[in-house]
Amino acid sequence: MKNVVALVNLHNSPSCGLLTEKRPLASTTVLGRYAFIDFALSNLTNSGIDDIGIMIKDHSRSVIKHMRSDNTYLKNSKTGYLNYMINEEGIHNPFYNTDLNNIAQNDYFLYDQDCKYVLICPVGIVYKVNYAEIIREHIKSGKLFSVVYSKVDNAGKDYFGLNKITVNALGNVQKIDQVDPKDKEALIGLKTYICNSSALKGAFPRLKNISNVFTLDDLMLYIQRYSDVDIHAIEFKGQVSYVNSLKKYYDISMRFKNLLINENGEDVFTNEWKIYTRTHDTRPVYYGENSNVKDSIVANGCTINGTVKNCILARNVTVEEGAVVENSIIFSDSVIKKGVHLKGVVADKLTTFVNKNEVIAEKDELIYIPQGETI
Amino acid sequence: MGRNVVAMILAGGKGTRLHALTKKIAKPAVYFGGKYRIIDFSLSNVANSSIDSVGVLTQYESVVLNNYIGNGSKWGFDGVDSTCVALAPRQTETGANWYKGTADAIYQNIDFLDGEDPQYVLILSGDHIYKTSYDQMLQLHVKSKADCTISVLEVDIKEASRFGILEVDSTDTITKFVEKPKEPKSNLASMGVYVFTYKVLRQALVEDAKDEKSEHDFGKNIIPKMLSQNKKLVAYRFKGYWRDVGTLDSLHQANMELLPSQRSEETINFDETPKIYSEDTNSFPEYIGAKAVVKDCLINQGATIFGTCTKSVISNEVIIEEGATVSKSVLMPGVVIKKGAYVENAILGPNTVIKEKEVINKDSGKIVLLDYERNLQ
Repeated sequence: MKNVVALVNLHNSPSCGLLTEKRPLASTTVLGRYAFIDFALSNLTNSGIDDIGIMIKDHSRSVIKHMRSDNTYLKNSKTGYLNYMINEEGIHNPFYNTDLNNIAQNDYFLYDQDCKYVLICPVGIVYKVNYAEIIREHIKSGKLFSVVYSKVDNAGKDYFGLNKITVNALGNVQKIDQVDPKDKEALIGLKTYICNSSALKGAFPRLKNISNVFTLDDLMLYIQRYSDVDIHAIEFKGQVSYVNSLKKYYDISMRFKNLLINENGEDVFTNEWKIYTRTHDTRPVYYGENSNVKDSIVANGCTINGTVKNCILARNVTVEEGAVVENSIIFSDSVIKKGVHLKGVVADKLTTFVNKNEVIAEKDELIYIPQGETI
Repeated sequence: MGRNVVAMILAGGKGTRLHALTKKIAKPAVYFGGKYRIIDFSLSNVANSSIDSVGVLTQYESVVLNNYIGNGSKWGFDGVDSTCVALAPRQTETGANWYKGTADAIYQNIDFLDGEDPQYVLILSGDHIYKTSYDQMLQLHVKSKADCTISVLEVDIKEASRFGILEVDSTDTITKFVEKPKEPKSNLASMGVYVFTYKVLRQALVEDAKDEKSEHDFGKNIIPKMLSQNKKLVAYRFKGYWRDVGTLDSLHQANMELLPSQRSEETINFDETPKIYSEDTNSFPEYIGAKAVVKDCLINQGATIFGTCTKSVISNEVIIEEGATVSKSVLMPGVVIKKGAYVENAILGPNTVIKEKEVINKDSGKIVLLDYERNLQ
């Protein structure tokens, strides 16, 4: 789709506490092999969109290190384009370091004559979507702006932090509100916007005179409430996962683990919809003669000689003989020494567990071990 | 300015002793170690030796191999001023010719080498399993002012008659080369890895091309001729793990040597840098099921194991269903072992499907190959 520029928005990714203290959710590992941004970028690649801007809010090194090469995500590295967008003027001012200002600072694409439509998509909301269909619906609507939403029945519990919308009989957004913790059934905005390029470009001069529009969400709210421009509402009917806490990170990871072997390939994992990620050239997994692995995902580079049950192990994790790891997510390059017992643990990169330690979380609780710790 | 070193990898062999595995692909493209193709080892070795120009000489069933080599990005050869190109036989003004031998393959691509204008040419085989840097060999070649340096392996003297054997003096200067001698006087076997000073090689290739009696082979013709011309040929003693996986038994054995129980200082260490590079298949992560039993195995991403798997090497996209058992086997990409099936001492070619409760090679002790068309060897 040569007339579309896609912006992957890292500004509005939710915090997952210590897990995202030193990295954005975008480059946080998931399923041992991917980072969250891979899902957003693979949606674009699989939809035939290869003019992409990554709107980086902070921790740019972590993001760029993960991305490494354009060739990972672009079908053609000459005709395609992957651009890192950083709000250089406002990066040290949290009030100014917003997605809208990032676009204003990096508005090169708005002057590209080929760019007719701008697609803005999130990272913290994981869903498998063919954007080509979404953009076709936006064009068909004839509107200048569209928002993608999903109908859910557990809004307050699973989607707190997002906006809910109401849609009028014409299929346009009638109202935008924040999700209330008590909400059950609701139409959740997926922070996915499609804008006619000219309309987005035209909005910026006017924004200078408006004091309370800082973010894209603010802009959409302002357009809906105070202008006569309609925002078209496009429904996404598949499963949507919103990662906004360590617990949600854990639950969603474990749900994805189970989806991998679901014959229906529900939502995220189907052979026709590849998830692209950078290669680390790690060898296949060594399973030793004493390994006892059940119901687990194990990434390449691991060496397993102990017991691993209901776990996700990222690259180069070592589980020594006699160690037991249950219901846990272990990030890359971690070592579980002999006799250690872990249960309900999320261990960040390069952690080491020694001296027959027992790190066991209470039921339904998690213990997070920061990067590089030796326990 | 020309390059210092250009690597030329001979990858055109048919590999007939691998039977159905090489029916539609060249031997260097055969899968190995759950994740790799055989040629990954030579290409990674070249990349890890900071050599940034490589020609891969393909011939037999070259489509898959040419496609796999691509622009060399899998091994990092897509950087600035780097070159990686598959060189298949081609039509010229004088007609079209297959490569008539290893030396002829290089001779037919002499214009490629002239274009690169190297000081030295490293000639390798694309079907060897080993992990090395060619730095020391190149340094020896330069330091000893040799015309040709041959990498040699010390083999058991009883086995020596299977190899091209070199005799050397006290300074490891080669005095004699005999292809598969009946009564070997040395245990230094040629690995088919050569460093040539390009000017010398070029002249030798041109002379050899004019010789109608020549088989245009490095071992049989070029090396003996250079010795007869009193050129300086030096032996480089290679230390480490090296395997020629030319038969089903040797391919199976080399795979088994990768298993955790077989690992030692002698075998290939994938964890030590530099790495062996390969294609990333964009597979989903590998999953081990709730009832699975996995012991002493090497399993690649994309595999899904619900059954029992012991002492085996498992590639991406392999599925072993619940109740199935795989033992002492090598499963190539896309193999499916259905419920209740049993497989032992087997190499299963890509996309082979073993039916429910089917038994393959139980207790025979021999290695068998089964391919997706159900041909059994």
